[in-house]
Amino acid sequence: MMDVIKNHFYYLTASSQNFSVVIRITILLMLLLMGIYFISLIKIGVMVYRTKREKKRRQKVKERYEYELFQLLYTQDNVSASQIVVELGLENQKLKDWEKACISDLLVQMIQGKYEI
Amino acid sequence: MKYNATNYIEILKVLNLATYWESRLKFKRGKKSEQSLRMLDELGETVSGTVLSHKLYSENKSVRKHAKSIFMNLSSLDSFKFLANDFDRDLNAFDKIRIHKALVSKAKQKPLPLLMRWVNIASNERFKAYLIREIAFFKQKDCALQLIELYQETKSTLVKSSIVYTLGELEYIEAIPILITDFDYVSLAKQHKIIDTLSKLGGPQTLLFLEELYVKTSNKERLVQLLQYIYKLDTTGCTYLRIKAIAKTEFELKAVAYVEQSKKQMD
Repeated sequence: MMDVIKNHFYYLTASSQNFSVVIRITILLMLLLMGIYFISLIKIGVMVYRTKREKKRRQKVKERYEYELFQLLYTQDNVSASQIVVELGLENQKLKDWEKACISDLLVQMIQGKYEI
Repeated sequence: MKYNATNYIEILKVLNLATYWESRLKFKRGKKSEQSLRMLDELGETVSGTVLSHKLYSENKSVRKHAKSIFMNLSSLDSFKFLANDFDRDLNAFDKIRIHKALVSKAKQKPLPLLMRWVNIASNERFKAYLIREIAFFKQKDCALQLIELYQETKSTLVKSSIVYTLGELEYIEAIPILITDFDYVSLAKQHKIIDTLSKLGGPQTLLFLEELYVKTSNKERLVQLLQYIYKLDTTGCTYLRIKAIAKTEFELKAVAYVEQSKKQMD
Protein backbone atom coordinates (compact mmCIF):
# COMPACT_ATOMS: atom_id res chain seq x y z
CA MET A 1 0.00 0.00 0.00
CA MET A 2 2.71 2.37 1.03
CA ASP A 3 4.57 1.59 -2.19
CA VAL A 4 1.57 2.53 -4.28
CA ILE A 5 1.27 5.89 -2.55
CA LYS A 6 5.00 6.49 -2.87
CA ASN A 7 4.85 5.57 -6.54
CA HIS A 8 2.11 8.11 -7.15
CA PHE A 9 3.97 10.71 -5.18
CA TYR A 10 7.17 10.25 -7.17
CA TYR A 11 5.22 10.24 -10.41
CA LEU A 12 3.58 13.55 -9.50
CA THR A 13 6.82 15.20 -8.38
CA ALA A 14 8.65 13.99 -11.46
CA SER A 15 5.96 15.05 -13.92
CA SER A 16 5.60 18.47 -12.32
CA GLN A 17 9.34 19.07 -12.14
CA ASN A 18 9.35 21.26 -15.19
CA PHE A 19 6.34 23.35 -14.15
CA SER A 20 6.56 26.66 -12.42
CA VAL A 21 5.87 27.05 -8.71
CA VAL A 22 2.39 28.48 -9.28
CA ILE A 23 1.28 25.49 -11.32
CA ARG A 24 2.67 23.09 -8.73
CA ILE A 25 0.83 24.80 -5.91
CA THR A 26 -2.34 24.75 -7.98
CA ILE A 27 -2.07 21.03 -8.61
CA LEU A 28 -1.46 20.40 -4.93
CA LEU A 29 -4.45 22.51 -3.92
CA MET A 30 -6.66 20.84 -6.49
CA LEU A 31 -5.79 17.41 -5.20
CA LEU A 32 -6.38 18.51 -1.63
CA LEU A 33 -9.73 20.11 -2.35
CA MET A 34 -10.87 17.12 -4.39
CA GLY A 35 -10.08 14.92 -1.40
CA ILE A 36 -12.07 17.14 0.93
CA TYR A 37 -14.92 17.21 -1.58
CA PHE A 38 -15.17 13.44 -1.77
CA ILE A 39 -14.96 13.02 1.98
CA SER A 40 -17.78 15.53 2.47
CA LEU A 41 -19.87 13.78 -0.15
CA ILE A 42 -19.49 10.49 1.66
CA LYS A 43 -20.29 12.13 4.98
CA ILE A 44 -23.44 13.73 3.63
CA GLY A 45 -24.48 10.38 2.19
CA VAL A 46 -24.02 8.69 5.56
CA MET A 47 -25.96 11.40 7.32
CA VAL A 48 -28.88 11.14 4.93
CA TYR A 49 -28.88 7.38 5.32
CA ARG A 50 -28.90 7.62 9.11
CA THR A 51 -31.66 10.20 9.22
CA LYS A 52 -33.82 8.14 6.90
CA ARG A 53 -33.19 5.01 8.94
CA GLU A 54 -34.11 6.83 12.15
CA LYS A 55 -37.31 8.12 10.58
CA LYS A 56 -38.25 4.66 9.35
CA ARG A 57 -37.59 3.13 12.76
CA ARG A 58 -39.75 5.66 14.50
CA GLN A 59 -42.53 5.05 12.04
CA LYS A 60 -42.23 1.31 12.53
CA VAL A 61 -42.36 1.53 16.33
CA LYS A 62 -45.23 3.94 16.15
CA GLU A 63 -47.28 1.63 13.96
CA ARG A 64 -46.54 -1.41 16.06
CA TYR A 65 -46.88 -0.09 19.64
CA GLU A 66 -48.71 3.23 19.53
CA TYR A 67 -52.24 1.97 19.98
CA GLU A 68 -51.36 -0.64 22.60
CA LEU A 69 -49.32 1.77 24.72
CA PHE A 70 -52.02 4.37 24.57
CA GLN A 71 -54.61 1.85 25.68
CA LEU A 72 -52.43 0.69 28.58
CA LEU A 73 -51.68 4.23 29.73
CA TYR A 74 -55.19 5.57 29.60
CA THR A 75 -57.13 2.65 31.01
CA GLN A 76 -58.66 2.92 34.47
CA ASP A 77 -57.72 -0.62 35.54
CA ASN A 78 -54.26 -1.46 36.76
CA VAL A 79 -52.59 -4.09 34.61
CA SER A 80 -49.94 -6.59 35.65
CA ALA A 81 -46.50 -7.07 34.12
CA SER A 82 -47.48 -10.26 32.31
CA GLN A 83 -50.53 -8.56 30.83
CA ILE A 84 -48.38 -5.80 29.47
CA VAL A 85 -46.06 -8.33 27.83
CA VAL A 86 -49.02 -10.02 26.18
CA GLU A 87 -50.61 -6.75 25.08
CA LEU A 88 -47.42 -5.55 23.45
CA GLY A 89 -46.78 -8.97 21.88
CA LEU A 90 -43.36 -9.39 23.46
CA GLU A 91 -43.69 -12.98 24.70
CA ASN A 92 -41.03 -14.44 22.43
CA GLN A 93 -38.90 -11.48 21.58
CA LYS A 94 -36.68 -8.97 23.27
CA LEU A 95 -36.72 -5.30 22.41
CA LYS A 96 -33.77 -3.98 20.46
CA ASP A 97 -31.95 -0.92 21.74
CA TRP A 98 -33.30 1.40 19.07
CA GLU A 99 -36.82 0.17 19.77
CA LYS A 100 -36.39 1.08 23.43
CA ALA A 101 -35.24 4.57 22.46
CA CYS A 102 -38.22 5.11 20.16
CA ILE A 103 -40.69 3.73 22.71
CA SER A 104 -39.29 6.07 25.38
CA ASP A 105 -39.89 8.97 23.03
CA LEU A 106 -43.44 7.85 22.39
CA LEU A 107 -44.13 7.41 26.11
CA VAL A 108 -42.76 10.84 26.98
CA GLN A 109 -44.97 12.42 24.35
CA MET A 110 -47.97 10.57 25.71
CA ILE A 111 -47.47 11.45 29.38
CA GLN A 112 -46.87 15.07 28.56
CA GLY A 113 -50.33 15.14 27.07
CA LYS A 114 -49.22 16.25 23.62
CA TYR A 115 -50.62 13.18 22.09
CA GLU A 116 -53.87 12.53 20.27
CA ILE A 117 -54.75 9.27 18.69
CA MET B 1 -57.11 13.32 30.50
CA LYS B 2 -54.80 11.97 33.20
CA TYR B 3 -52.80 8.87 32.46
CA ASN B 4 -52.69 5.86 34.75
CA ALA B 5 -49.45 6.30 36.72
CA THR B 6 -49.35 2.75 38.05
CA ASN B 7 -49.53 1.32 34.57
CA TYR B 8 -46.91 3.77 33.38
CA ILE B 9 -44.40 2.66 36.00
CA GLU B 10 -45.22 -0.96 35.26
CA ILE B 11 -44.55 -0.42 31.53
CA LEU B 12 -41.20 1.20 32.31
CA LYS B 13 -40.28 -1.80 34.43
CA VAL B 14 -41.35 -4.42 31.92
CA LEU B 15 -39.53 -2.77 29.03
CA ASN B 16 -36.41 -2.06 31.13
CA LEU B 17 -36.32 1.46 29.80
CA ALA B 18 -34.63 3.03 32.82
CA THR B 19 -31.89 0.39 32.80
CA TYR B 20 -31.31 0.99 29.12
CA TRP B 21 -30.89 4.75 29.52
CA GLU B 22 -28.75 4.34 32.61
CA SER B 23 -26.43 2.01 30.74
CA ARG B 24 -26.15 4.60 27.99
CA LEU B 25 -25.27 7.20 30.59
CA LYS B 26 -22.01 5.43 31.20
CA PHE B 27 -20.70 6.33 27.75
CA LYS B 28 -17.84 8.76 27.75
CA ARG B 29 -19.21 10.61 24.75
CA GLY B 30 -20.99 13.78 25.76
CA LYS B 31 -23.78 13.57 23.22
CA LYS B 32 -25.01 10.16 24.29
CA SER B 33 -24.97 10.84 28.01
CA GLU B 34 -26.62 14.18 27.47
CA GLN B 35 -29.45 12.57 25.57
CA SER B 36 -29.80 9.85 28.21
CA LEU B 37 -29.92 12.34 31.06
CA ARG B 38 -32.62 14.30 29.29
CA MET B 39 -34.62 11.17 28.64
CA LEU B 40 -34.34 9.95 32.24
CA ASP B 41 -35.41 13.35 33.43
CA GLU B 42 -38.40 13.36 31.12
CA LEU B 43 -39.43 9.81 31.88
CA GLY B 44 -39.54 10.86 35.53
CA GLU B 45 -37.90 7.63 36.53
CA THR B 46 -35.78 7.97 39.64
CA VAL B 47 -32.18 7.86 38.48
CA SER B 48 -29.91 5.94 40.78
CA GLY B 49 -27.47 8.13 42.62
CA THR B 50 -24.41 6.09 41.73
CA VAL B 51 -24.95 6.46 38.00
CA LEU B 52 -25.54 10.15 38.37
CA SER B 53 -22.56 10.78 40.61
CA HIS B 54 -20.15 10.04 37.74
CA LYS B 55 -21.71 12.80 35.75
CA LEU B 56 -21.71 15.43 38.50
CA TYR B 57 -18.10 16.26 37.74
CA SER B 58 -18.15 15.58 34.00
CA GLU B 59 -15.94 17.59 31.68
CA ASN B 60 -18.89 18.34 29.44
CA LYS B 61 -20.51 21.37 31.01
CA SER B 62 -23.99 20.75 29.70
CA VAL B 63 -24.03 17.22 31.11
CA ARG B 64 -22.54 18.37 34.38
CA LYS B 65 -25.09 21.10 34.94
CA HIS B 66 -28.02 18.94 33.98
CA ALA B 67 -26.81 16.21 36.33
CA LYS B 68 -26.55 18.74 39.13
CA SER B 69 -30.09 19.95 38.62
CA ILE B 70 -31.42 16.38 38.57
CA PHE B 71 -29.38 15.63 41.68
CA MET B 72 -31.10 18.53 43.39
CA ASN B 73 -34.41 17.02 42.49
CA LEU B 74 -33.71 13.50 43.65
CA SER B 75 -31.14 13.28 46.34
CA SER B 76 -32.30 12.67 49.86
CA LEU B 77 -28.98 13.51 51.47
CA ASP B 78 -28.08 17.06 50.68
CA SER B 79 -30.10 18.16 47.71
CA PHE B 80 -28.99 21.75 47.86
CA LYS B 81 -25.31 20.96 47.88
CA PHE B 82 -24.77 22.59 44.51
CA LEU B 83 -26.46 25.84 45.30
CA ALA B 84 -23.30 26.68 47.18
CA ASN B 85 -20.29 27.48 44.97
CA ASP B 86 -22.51 29.44 42.58
CA PHE B 87 -24.05 26.22 41.20
CA ASP B 88 -21.52 26.10 38.40
CA ARG B 89 -18.71 28.23 37.07
CA ASP B 90 -20.72 29.01 33.99
CA LEU B 91 -24.34 29.77 34.65
CA ASN B 92 -26.84 30.65 31.96
CA ALA B 93 -30.55 31.27 31.62
CA PHE B 94 -31.30 27.65 30.86
CA ASP B 95 -29.66 26.54 34.11
CA LYS B 96 -31.79 29.01 35.95
CA ILE B 97 -34.89 27.37 34.51
CA ARG B 98 -33.59 23.96 35.53
CA ILE B 99 -32.82 25.10 39.08
CA HIS B 100 -36.21 26.73 39.29
CA LYS B 101 -37.90 23.51 38.20
CA ALA B 102 -35.99 21.51 40.80
CA LEU B 103 -36.79 24.03 43.53
CA VAL B 104 -40.48 24.01 42.66
CA SER B 105 -40.69 20.23 42.81
CA LYS B 106 -38.75 20.23 46.10
CA ALA B 107 -41.07 22.86 47.52
CA LYS B 108 -44.03 20.60 46.79
CA GLN B 109 -42.61 17.89 49.04
CA LYS B 110 -41.44 20.04 51.95
CA PRO B 111 -41.00 23.73 52.68
CA LEU B 112 -37.70 24.95 51.26
CA PRO B 113 -34.90 26.09 53.55
CA LEU B 114 -34.28 29.83 53.47
CA LEU B 115 -32.54 30.63 50.20
CA MET B 116 -30.83 33.57 51.88
CA ARG B 117 -28.20 31.14 53.11
CA TRP B 118 -26.86 30.64 49.58
CA VAL B 119 -27.21 34.29 48.69
CA ASN B 120 -24.71 35.03 51.45
CA ILE B 121 -22.30 32.36 50.29
CA ALA B 122 -22.50 33.07 46.54
CA SER B 123 -19.79 35.09 44.89
CA ASN B 124 -21.24 35.38 41.40
CA GLU B 125 -23.47 38.41 41.33
CA ARG B 126 -25.76 37.13 38.62
CA PHE B 127 -26.39 34.02 40.67
CA LYS B 128 -27.03 36.12 43.77
CA ALA B 129 -29.56 38.25 41.93
CA TYR B 130 -31.23 35.11 40.60
CA LEU B 131 -31.54 33.55 44.05
CA ILE B 132 -33.01 36.75 45.44
CA ARG B 133 -35.67 36.63 42.74
CA GLU B 134 -36.39 33.05 43.71
CA ILE B 135 -36.92 34.25 47.30
CA ALA B 136 -39.61 36.51 45.90
CA PHE B 137 -41.16 33.59 44.02
CA PHE B 138 -41.33 31.37 47.10
CA LYS B 139 -42.42 34.27 49.33
CA GLN B 140 -39.83 33.61 52.02
CA LYS B 141 -40.68 36.55 54.26
CA ASP B 142 -38.09 35.63 56.87
CA CYS B 143 -35.34 36.68 54.49
CA ALA B 144 -36.56 40.27 54.27
CA LEU B 145 -34.48 41.62 57.16
CA GLN B 146 -31.30 40.12 55.79
CA LEU B 147 -32.14 41.43 52.34
CA ILE B 148 -32.32 44.96 53.70
CA GLU B 149 -28.90 44.48 55.27
CA LEU B 150 -27.51 43.19 52.00
CA TYR B 151 -29.10 46.11 50.18
CA GLN B 152 -27.19 48.55 52.33
CA GLU B 153 -23.92 46.66 52.04
CA THR B 154 -23.72 45.63 48.39
CA LYS B 155 -22.48 47.81 45.59
CA SER B 156 -23.76 45.71 42.71
CA THR B 157 -26.66 47.31 40.86
CA LEU B 158 -27.91 43.92 39.68
CA VAL B 159 -28.25 42.59 43.21
CA LYS B 160 -29.72 45.84 44.46
CA SER B 161 -32.44 45.98 41.84
CA SER B 162 -33.47 42.38 42.44
CA ILE B 163 -33.64 43.10 46.18
CA VAL B 164 -35.91 46.06 45.47
CA TYR B 165 -38.16 43.84 43.37
CA THR B 166 -38.19 41.10 46.00
CA LEU B 167 -39.04 43.46 48.85
CA GLY B 168 -42.07 44.56 46.87
CA GLU B 169 -43.16 40.98 46.29
CA LEU B 170 -42.70 40.13 49.98
CA GLU B 171 -44.73 43.21 50.94
CA TYR B 172 -42.15 44.19 53.52
CA ILE B 173 -43.42 47.57 54.70
CA GLU B 174 -40.40 48.30 56.91
CA ALA B 175 -38.35 48.76 53.72
CA ILE B 176 -40.20 51.94 52.70
CA PRO B 177 -38.04 54.54 54.53
CA ILE B 178 -34.83 52.92 53.31
CA LEU B 179 -35.99 52.89 49.71
CA ILE B 180 -37.15 56.49 49.94
CA THR B 181 -33.82 57.75 51.33
CA ASP B 182 -31.94 55.83 48.67
CA PHE B 183 -34.12 57.09 45.84
CA ASP B 184 -32.21 60.23 44.95
CA TYR B 185 -28.84 58.51 44.68
CA VAL B 186 -29.52 55.70 42.22
CA SER B 187 -29.78 55.28 38.46
CA LEU B 188 -32.92 56.07 36.52
CA ALA B 189 -33.77 52.42 35.87
CA LYS B 190 -33.52 51.63 39.54
CA GLN B 191 -35.62 54.61 40.44
CA HIS B 192 -38.33 53.11 38.26
CA LYS B 193 -37.99 49.83 40.12
CA ILE B 194 -38.21 51.60 43.48
CA ILE B 195 -41.38 53.38 42.41
CA ASP B 196 -42.88 50.05 41.30
CA THR B 197 -42.00 48.44 44.61
CA LEU B 198 -43.33 51.35 46.64
CA SER B 199 -46.60 51.15 44.76
CA LYS B 200 -46.87 47.51 45.82
CA LEU B 201 -46.08 48.31 49.45
CA GLY B 202 -48.50 51.24 49.72
CA GLY B 203 -49.09 53.16 52.95
CA PRO B 204 -49.39 56.88 53.80
CA GLN B 205 -45.64 57.47 53.78
CA THR B 206 -45.40 56.15 50.23
CA LEU B 207 -48.28 58.31 49.13
CA LEU B 208 -46.65 61.40 50.55
CA PHE B 209 -43.39 60.56 48.82
CA LEU B 210 -45.05 59.91 45.47
CA GLU B 211 -46.87 63.21 45.70
CA GLU B 212 -43.64 65.09 46.38
CA LEU B 213 -42.01 63.29 43.51
CA TYR B 214 -44.90 64.14 41.20
CA VAL B 215 -44.47 67.83 41.87
CA LYS B 216 -40.72 67.66 41.31
CA THR B 217 -40.44 65.42 38.28
CA SER B 218 -40.23 66.66 34.73
CA ASN B 219 -40.01 63.23 33.08
CA LYS B 220 -43.33 62.84 31.28
CA GLU B 221 -43.32 59.09 31.19
CA ARG B 222 -42.76 58.96 34.94
CA LEU B 223 -45.45 61.55 35.46
CA VAL B 224 -48.09 59.25 33.99
CA GLN B 225 -46.75 56.31 35.96
CA LEU B 226 -46.82 58.27 39.24
CA LEU B 227 -50.32 59.46 38.55
CA GLN B 228 -51.47 55.90 38.01
CA TYR B 229 -49.92 54.69 41.23
CA ILE B 230 -51.27 57.61 43.26
CA TYR B 231 -54.73 56.97 41.86
CA LYS B 232 -54.43 53.30 42.81
CA LEU B 233 -53.03 53.84 46.32
CA ASP B 234 -55.09 56.82 47.36
CA THR B 235 -58.11 55.27 49.00
CA THR B 236 -59.49 58.53 50.37
CA GLY B 237 -58.99 60.38 47.11
CA CYS B 238 -57.59 63.54 48.80
CA THR B 239 -54.09 63.42 47.37
CA TYR B 240 -55.33 62.61 43.92
CA LEU B 241 -57.77 65.48 43.92
CA ARG B 242 -55.05 67.81 45.11
CA ILE B 243 -52.85 66.80 42.23
CA LYS B 244 -55.71 67.05 39.80
CA ALA B 245 -56.36 70.60 40.96
CA ILE B 246 -52.82 71.72 40.25
CA ALA B 247 -52.71 70.12 36.81
CA LYS B 248 -52.40 72.97 34.35
CA THR B 249 -50.50 71.98 31.24
CA GLU B 250 -52.24 70.20 28.44
CA PHE B 251 -50.14 67.12 28.97
CA GLU B 252 -51.08 66.86 32.65
CA LEU B 253 -54.77 67.22 31.90
CA LYS B 254 -54.52 64.52 29.24
CA ALA B 255 -52.64 62.27 31.66
CA VAL B 256 -55.34 62.69 34.31
CA ALA B 257 -58.05 61.85 31.78
CA TYR B 258 -56.08 58.85 30.56
CA VAL B 259 -55.54 57.47 34.08
CA GLU B 260 -59.18 57.79 34.99
CA GLN B 261 -60.29 56.28 31.72
CA SER B 262 -57.97 53.27 32.02
CA LYS B 263 -59.09 52.70 35.60
CA LYS B 264 -62.71 52.71 34.53
CA GLN B 265 -61.97 50.24 31.77
CA MET B 266 -60.26 47.94 34.24
CA ASP B 267 -63.25 48.07 36.58
